[in-house]
Amino acid sequence: MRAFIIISCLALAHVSNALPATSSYLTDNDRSRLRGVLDAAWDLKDLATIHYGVLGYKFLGQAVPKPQDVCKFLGSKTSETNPEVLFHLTSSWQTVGSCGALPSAPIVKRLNEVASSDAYPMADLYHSVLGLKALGQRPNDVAKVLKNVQAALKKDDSALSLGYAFHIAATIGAEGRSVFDRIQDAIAQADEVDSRFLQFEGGLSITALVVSGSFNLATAQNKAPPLTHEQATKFANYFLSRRSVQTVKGIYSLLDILSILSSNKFLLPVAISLEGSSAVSSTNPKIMLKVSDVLGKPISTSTVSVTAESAKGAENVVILSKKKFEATSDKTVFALNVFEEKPAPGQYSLTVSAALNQADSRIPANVVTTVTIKAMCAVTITSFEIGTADADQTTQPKMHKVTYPSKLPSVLEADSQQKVVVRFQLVAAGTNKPLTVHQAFLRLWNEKSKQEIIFNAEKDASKTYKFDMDVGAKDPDFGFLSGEFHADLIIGDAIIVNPLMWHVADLKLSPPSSDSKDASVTNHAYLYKPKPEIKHIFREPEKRPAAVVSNLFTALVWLPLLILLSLWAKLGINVSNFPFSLSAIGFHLGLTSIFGLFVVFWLELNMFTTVKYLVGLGAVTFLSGNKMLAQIASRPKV
Amino acid sequence: MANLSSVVAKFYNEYTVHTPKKLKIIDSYLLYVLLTGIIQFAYCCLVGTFPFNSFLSGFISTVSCFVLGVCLRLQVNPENKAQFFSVSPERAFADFIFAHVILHLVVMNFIG
Repeated sequence: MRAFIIISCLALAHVSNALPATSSYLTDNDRSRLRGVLDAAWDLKDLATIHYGVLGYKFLGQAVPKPQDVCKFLGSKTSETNPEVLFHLTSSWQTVGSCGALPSAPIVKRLNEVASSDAYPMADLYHSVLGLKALGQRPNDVAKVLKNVQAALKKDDSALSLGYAFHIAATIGAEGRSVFDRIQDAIAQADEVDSRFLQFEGGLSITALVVSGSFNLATAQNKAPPLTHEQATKFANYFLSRRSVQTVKGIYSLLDILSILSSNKFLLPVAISLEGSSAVSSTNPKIMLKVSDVLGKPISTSTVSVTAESAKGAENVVILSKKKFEATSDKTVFALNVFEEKPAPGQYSLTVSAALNQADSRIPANVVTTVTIKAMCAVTITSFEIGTADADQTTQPKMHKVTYPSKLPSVLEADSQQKVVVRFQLVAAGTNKPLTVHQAFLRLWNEKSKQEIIFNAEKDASKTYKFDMDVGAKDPDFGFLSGEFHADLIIGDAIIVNPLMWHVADLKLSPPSSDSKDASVTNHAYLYKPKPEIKHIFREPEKRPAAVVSNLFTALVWLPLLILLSLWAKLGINVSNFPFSLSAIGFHLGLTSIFGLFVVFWLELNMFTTVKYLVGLGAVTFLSGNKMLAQIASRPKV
Repeated sequence: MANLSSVVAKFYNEYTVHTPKKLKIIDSYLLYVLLTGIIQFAYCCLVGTFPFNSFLSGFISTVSCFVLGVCLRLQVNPENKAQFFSVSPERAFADFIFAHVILHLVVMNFIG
């Protein structure tokens, strides 16, 4: 099925929808492949397989290998009574031809019995009539057989049944005329696919059976079958699309119908196909076309004239019209030098017509097909420049010219503040017209790490290819690697004959600055790696001085107090003058307790409780202090 | 140099003879506060500010005590009687005590 699709696609690519000619034929490759599949028959296990293998080999012009073994196997089946087995047996026996005399009397009797009975289905009628034919006999009662066929067709007028009927009628000969009228009905049942194929439901075997039956019957009646040339071509397209068939029976059907379509008296489909490459270039300037029948043989003894009607490229540019193909030594192959028209590189659809110089009723006067060809050219790189510039564009880039295929002699150095700039133009060889290609890449390759990065070169309106690589911004792509990179230019396209990979220069990238690396690490390569565990860190205690120092200063702080007391002592504070009144004691006690309270506040209390206590103490101290000072004030001054 | 020593000697004599005893007491208090402040500052310069709260409250406490002491001295000084006529020495002392209570409440709160 896949092979079928691929072949259809290939066929579609080469042929327009209007289809007066088929686009392929059975090539030698196809023949040898089909032969390989037929070889399965020589296991000598299944009679039908052997039968179709023998027939297929005959069509391919091959001798049956080990015919004695085949004959021995066939000989073991002579006592069968099933008409299908007898059909396979007699037909194979006759085709192999070297098995000697077949004890035919009981087989003929049995087959005649089946053919004359109305109890058997159409398939058995077919087997018996064709079995008799293989033995060189006609049915005893031809009228009865035809009656049985008509009766069976009433019950079942499917394509398969009609196909059997056509073969029976063709075998019987002139009396089969009544069945001939059914050909039209049968052809009408065919399904059209993509307006390219005609086929019957059920596939290759049934389609081949019906079409070959129709042609055989037409031959027997000597009347043209009711088929147009277009229908025959569509059937041929279908059969040729099934060249990849993998069953022995299918191969027999295919070879049988293709040989009928290439050798009948009524309709011969014409195949016009490309022979060899579809590409033309200066070294291969000619397009070769093969005009043949479906088996690849010449369609006629008469000469054929092949004309290239037109070749249209992109935007419907016509590069040639009405050019005659030249005949070549091969009678079926015709050549045209397309390249002398100087086609611009690209794809063209070439419309070709073929006409016989001597009219042949089997072949239309003019068959037309369209093939896709492409004109190729060699590409030349002009004005290749590579250089470095500051990433912020403040300075003019410093460019070095390089000519293909040499390499920039010096190593180009760039750091993360710079960018690498490349400019080049491509032209078709021998012209100065700029060329655009599908693939224009710059590859940076590190020999040591085997790392490679491929960048796309972009073209501007003047078809100049440009490539700017900001080294700093591309750091993540390089994995922050620095070092020596090969800069290779890669140019490729389906229409150029010399795709190239050119080692342009060596590039030395210096390591990126650490901060840019950190910033990018978080958002690029390490984004999906597990983050380091976050641990709570307590604040480190401040460094403390040695205990000796602290203690020394504590002592020092107390020292001024001693000085104070000593000074006061020297001045002679008269403590004796202390008035031992209630208010004086209350005041001093109160003041002392306030400061004591402050010490306690420092050590353990909070502001609210402190203020609560302070209000009480303060009131006492205030009242007593007030009274004491009033007393002092009222004392006579010394 | 001799000049300077004679000036100092004369100043000292003047001070011991003419300054009232009360003022001398206050002066020695001021000297005490001043020395304490200097020692704290020296510690801070030599060793470090840790714990900073404690240093700050201690140092500010000495500065404030000094200021309050100077205020008391000004108000108590008989030579300034004319300016602080309505303020008796007792009243000045009461203000001094009151201001100290408030000051030390704040200092204690800040000391940590």
